[in-house]
Amino acid sequence: MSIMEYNGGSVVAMVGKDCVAIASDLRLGNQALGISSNFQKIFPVTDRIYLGLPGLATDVTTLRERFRFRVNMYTIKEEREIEPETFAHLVSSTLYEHRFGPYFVEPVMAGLSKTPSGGVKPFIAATDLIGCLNFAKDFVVAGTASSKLFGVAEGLWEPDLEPEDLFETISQTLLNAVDRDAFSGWGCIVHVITKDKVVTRTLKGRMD
Amino acid sequence: MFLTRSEYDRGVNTFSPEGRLFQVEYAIEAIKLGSTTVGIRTPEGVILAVEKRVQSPLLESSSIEKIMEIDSHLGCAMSGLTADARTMIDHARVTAQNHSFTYDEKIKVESVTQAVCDLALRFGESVHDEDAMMSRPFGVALLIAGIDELGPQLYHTDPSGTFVRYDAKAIGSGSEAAQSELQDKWHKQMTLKEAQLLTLRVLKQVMEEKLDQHNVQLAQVTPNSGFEILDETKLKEVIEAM
Amino acid sequence: MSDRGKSSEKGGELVFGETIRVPTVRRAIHLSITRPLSFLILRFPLRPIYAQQYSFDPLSQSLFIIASRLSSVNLAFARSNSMPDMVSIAQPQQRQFNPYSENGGTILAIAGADFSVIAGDTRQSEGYSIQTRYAPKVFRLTDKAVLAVNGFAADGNMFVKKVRQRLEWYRHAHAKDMPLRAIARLIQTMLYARRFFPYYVYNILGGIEDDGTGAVYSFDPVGSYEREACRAAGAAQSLVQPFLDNQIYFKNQTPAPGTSHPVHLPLSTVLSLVIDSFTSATERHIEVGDGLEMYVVLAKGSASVQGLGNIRGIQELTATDDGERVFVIRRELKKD
Repeated sequence: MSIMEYNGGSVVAMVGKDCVAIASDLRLGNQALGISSNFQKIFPVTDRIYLGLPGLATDVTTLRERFRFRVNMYTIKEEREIEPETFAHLVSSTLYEHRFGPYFVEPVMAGLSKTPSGGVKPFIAATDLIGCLNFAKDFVVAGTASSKLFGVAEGLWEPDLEPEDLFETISQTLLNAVDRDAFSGWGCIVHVITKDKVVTRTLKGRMD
Repeated sequence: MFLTRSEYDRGVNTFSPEGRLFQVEYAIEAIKLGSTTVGIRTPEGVILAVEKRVQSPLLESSSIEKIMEIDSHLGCAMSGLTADARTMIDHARVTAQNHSFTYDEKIKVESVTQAVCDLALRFGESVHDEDAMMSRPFGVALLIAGIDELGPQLYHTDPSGTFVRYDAKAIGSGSEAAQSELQDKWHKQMTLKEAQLLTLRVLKQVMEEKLDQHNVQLAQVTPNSGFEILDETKLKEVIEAM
Repeated sequence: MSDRGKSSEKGGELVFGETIRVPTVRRAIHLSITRPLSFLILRFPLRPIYAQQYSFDPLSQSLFIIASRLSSVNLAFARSNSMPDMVSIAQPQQRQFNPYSENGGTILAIAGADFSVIAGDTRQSEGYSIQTRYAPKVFRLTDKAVLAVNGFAADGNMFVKKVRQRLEWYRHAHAKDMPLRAIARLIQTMLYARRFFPYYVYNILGGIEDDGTGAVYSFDPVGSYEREACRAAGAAQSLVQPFLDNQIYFKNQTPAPGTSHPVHLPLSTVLSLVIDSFTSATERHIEVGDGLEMYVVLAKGSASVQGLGNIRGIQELTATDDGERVFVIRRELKKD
């Protein structure tokens, strides 16, 4: 059994036109047994950065606190908000510190970075459990339903989706992927990040 | 031809110089001693009817079984050495069940008839030094009735393993008279009801006793109900309608 | 449903998915362990030799060798008498022939109202090597039935051969082509006949039923089967199936008020979905790619035939007149 399957869970993030979306399921399991249908695995890092942590639940909680600490330290020392690219490297280096005794999570990040002209640029990234970064231009997936997420996302995603269309695309991708995964599901949550706001919606899905 | 006995009389697998298998021919003769059995095909279904010879008033006529089910869509009536028919019907039933097990469809009437006839010529066969399974030809002829995708059909098989499809066929002791009667009365657009009455009328003509619900048996195969043997009440109704 | 496609080796047994355990060919093992044993008996006749025990556990179906004290006692003797070193041969050795391999690729079938599409890629691989870029996995059986086989290619090809042989016998015995549902049942009995040494293949049968409807039947390697509207199997099953759930069954989609989802999709939509599924799978799965073959089976008199005329490179494979019609459409997939 893979350690990722101990608690289950999946996260996906997608790029749209001047927006990004990140979504996850809400299941916490103990192998085949479902424990909670409200286990959050996506956390806000700043107003414009969200971090998804699918994997071993204990590490999810630990890492959330660790990243909160490190981001706070960064903000205080630098006296500015961390940029998504910088945060991605923070995640990467934090995980690589534990190269030979890793945290069992595969983080997924979504955010908007500032451009010199004052606009925003969508940013998504994912790493493996030891911090190898993947800056994709379209979408990133992680968790027990990752292969299913890849398949559906590859079929549904297209470039330059407006926030509402991006929401529909990521929602359909996640819902249909987790419906074919025994370790993910039990409800979903989606965050769509745009320049001026973050829209968070909880989705109604199959609860089996 | 039967007056001169020869050494070719005995062997079941030896041709006579004239190219005949006497034992098979004798087996066909044995059927002519059997009770009369009639089958009629109509567009609505097939009717089978047999005469039951109740030889003693103490005999339970309901225990004489000359029409049997092969599958829900297949029935069979016999004449001759009826004990032999059990082996054949057993084989037919197994073949039909095997077919629906393997193909999830009802076996065709012709296929099940073919399977029975394949068995008919297995006499005298042996593997190496083992004893032959069957020592002589079957002494029974069958009328196999059924419905498949080609519609209602009636087949006749004899001990030589030959099978032929008929619109109407009579076998057994009264078969000659019965067959010519069928030839006169059968027509293409016959209803099932008409066929029921015709089979009984034909039997009535060739039977020595007075026909009643105890000494005949009537069965039918229809698209809706498949094979069914008519119970005595229903049979009585038909007899009274006759 | 979890991914059914992978197999893994554990000790002396093959484990399919989570349920099926299979014995492997064992003759080779037996020879190799009896030889060193008889050798020891000849060389050290006076020594007490603790018998090597071979026990065959019928439950786990793996071979255990209990060597007891034999090796240490006799090896000490061998060294002190400057006998040839027998460490290498005195050890019990296990050898295994693995009768199965996995050749990648993906197959897919979708049923329409009066047609059926059965598709497969043409890459055949073993591990990270590509054996060939054109190995068909989809086969026309009759004018109304097409079979796709995926998994172990040798088993798959042999299985198709045997099915075809049975179809021919059936034709001779019953004077008609076997109906689709009969082929489906036949495949079940053929697969289950090998319950304890299975054909390592996932089958998908597509075609036209006797009532003129399009049908898809999917099977597991030991013959469990069901009729469905669509099914993907093979290496990229987990990528393609949830996409099909969404696009064919409209899972997780709510129809606009006053409308409803179509039960069957038109042929042109189905063909686009098949192509999209395979290009997606090719993009993300290394075992999928090179070529795509899509078989289209049309019911007698199907109106869908009009849409087929302008499809590039379409080829008709129909053998008989005035019945169902079979076509094949070939497309290139990425080769990287």
